[in-house]
Amino acid sequence: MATQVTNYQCPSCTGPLHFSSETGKLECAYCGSSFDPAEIERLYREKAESAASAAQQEEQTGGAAPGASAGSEWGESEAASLRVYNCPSCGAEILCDDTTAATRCVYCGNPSIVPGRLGGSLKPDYIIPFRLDREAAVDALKKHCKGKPLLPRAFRSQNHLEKLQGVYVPFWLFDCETSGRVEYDANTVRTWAEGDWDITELTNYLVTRGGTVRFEQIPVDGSTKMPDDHMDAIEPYDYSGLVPFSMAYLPGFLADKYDVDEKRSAERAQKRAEQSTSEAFCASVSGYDSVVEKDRALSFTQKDAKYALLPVWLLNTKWNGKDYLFAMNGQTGKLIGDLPVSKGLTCAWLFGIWAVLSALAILIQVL
Amino acid sequence: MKRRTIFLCAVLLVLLLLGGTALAAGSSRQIDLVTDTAGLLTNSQRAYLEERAEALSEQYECDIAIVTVPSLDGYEAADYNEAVYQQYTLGWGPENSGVCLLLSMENRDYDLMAHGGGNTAFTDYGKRILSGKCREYFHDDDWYGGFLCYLDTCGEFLQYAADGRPVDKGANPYDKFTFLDAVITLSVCFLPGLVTVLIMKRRMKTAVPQTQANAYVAEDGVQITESSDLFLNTTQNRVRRARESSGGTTADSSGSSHESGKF
Repeated sequence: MATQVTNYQCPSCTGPLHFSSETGKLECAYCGSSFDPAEIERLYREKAESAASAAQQEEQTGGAAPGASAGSEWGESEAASLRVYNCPSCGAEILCDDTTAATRCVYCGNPSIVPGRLGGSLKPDYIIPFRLDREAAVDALKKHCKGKPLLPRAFRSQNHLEKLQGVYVPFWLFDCETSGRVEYDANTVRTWAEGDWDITELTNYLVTRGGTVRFEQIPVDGSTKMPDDHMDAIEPYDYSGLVPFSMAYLPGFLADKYDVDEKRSAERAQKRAEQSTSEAFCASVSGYDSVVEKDRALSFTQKDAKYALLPVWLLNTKWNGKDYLFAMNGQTGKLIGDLPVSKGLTCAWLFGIWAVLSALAILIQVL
Repeated sequence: MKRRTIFLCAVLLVLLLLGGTALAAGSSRQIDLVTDTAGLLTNSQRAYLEERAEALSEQYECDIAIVTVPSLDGYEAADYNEAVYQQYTLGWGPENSGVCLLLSMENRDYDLMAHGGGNTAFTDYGKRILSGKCREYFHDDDWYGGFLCYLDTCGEFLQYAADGRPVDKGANPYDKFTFLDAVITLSVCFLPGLVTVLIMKRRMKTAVPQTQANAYVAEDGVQITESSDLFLNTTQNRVRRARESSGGTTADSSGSSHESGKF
């Protein structure tokens, strides 16, 4: 396994390239050149192929490259356990865990891709490139804090963004089908008057619906680093933005490989699919005043699963010694995250409303 | 019909013997305003009540009568009271305006009847309040206190009517704001505040896991192949409707309105 990280360099000036969510191109911060991701991928592929053939020729002529013996000192498992890489820009050591696929050098800020994490069988099928930049994420957080009467006033001014990073989160997209039957207790209520009597008639029914429901690309995040509730809440993604995976979209952002496999992720997709199936069947039950699910017998069949990287902006803020995590869908801009609640403002609103309503009610009764 | 005639004659005889006759200007009544055939009052009490009733009747041109009898002889209290009122031509002026409280001691029945112009001052709602106030005394066998309360309250009712604000549903001057009302009001008003704050608090928490996948159902992805609606049973619940009055007075064909019950 290779221990060398890759960063895309500008063909004009060799400066580091990063993916721009605005233009959808790889841009050089030094000379201002921009390149289509596919074009850079092709250039790097050709470069890799010529390097490989040169190495093969050297091997045939009996020559050995300097340092080759050093490389042979590390086994694949040892390299993986070390998780130490050299920044191709400044030479500093980059430490990261075994799920990090793209990162940034802490010394020079150079965006780098860790080899092997997203290659071979681990290569994602699709990616949705970032469409919104970090300014949009900051604006969205400000907007998120507006119109929240219970938010401590000091939070708006005193909280400071500890960390703001764009992350490609690994997701499994499940195509699946549920089939079976669901039973509901349903009833109708009829009321009428007879003389001095009010009569209520309750008629009970046992309603059964059976069939199949097909689902396309239910997303389940495959990273234990990402809280499930945050990843669920920023759904949905617009799948028309899905493109075949390319490394060229990664520079400038963090990226993780999955650490929750397809089988374990499928369990969450199954729960959601079964709930939706019951709701879809229930929607076909009409003409009743009340419908309550009684029993369900559903089977889940997974048709296909694709591995995709989806864009998420993660914003960490700290206030009163407590961390608050916000997540924004890097494609649609939907931002979620729990905000702190002021006890003082809660009491003020509660007793304020109580006092006003009580005063009005007493006034009306006394006058 | 024959039974009714005999009954009315009997009533006439009893009342003539015990009540005497009084004629006042504007009123053609043939008995005293306070006719105590059941013997609940002393002479002095009856005399004072008679004097007070006369004064109020003249002041408001509306007879305020009290009749007590030992028994209803099997008749309804409302019928008995109506018969007495008509037979002895109680009432003031051409409309025979008046109000009459009948007590029967045998089964502790009462009937409060308003007639003519009395229907304006003594609405159905007002009669319930008036009888309720008096029944508190009658329940303790305080007849004099009850009749005094009756006369005083009748005077107040007539005054409210004269001022154009007869005691009725939605216009009840006796409905005072009590401590209990305040406690109930404060408790009820706490609820909207609590609900509002809980909604506000819920809006602060947006990181919630998804429990369904409705957004990912394929186009034409729902296929229902089994559908049955099986009838199980029917149950009926019958509740007697509470009498709801929107206010005013409900008079019968004779132009009288009644409030009857036990004391």
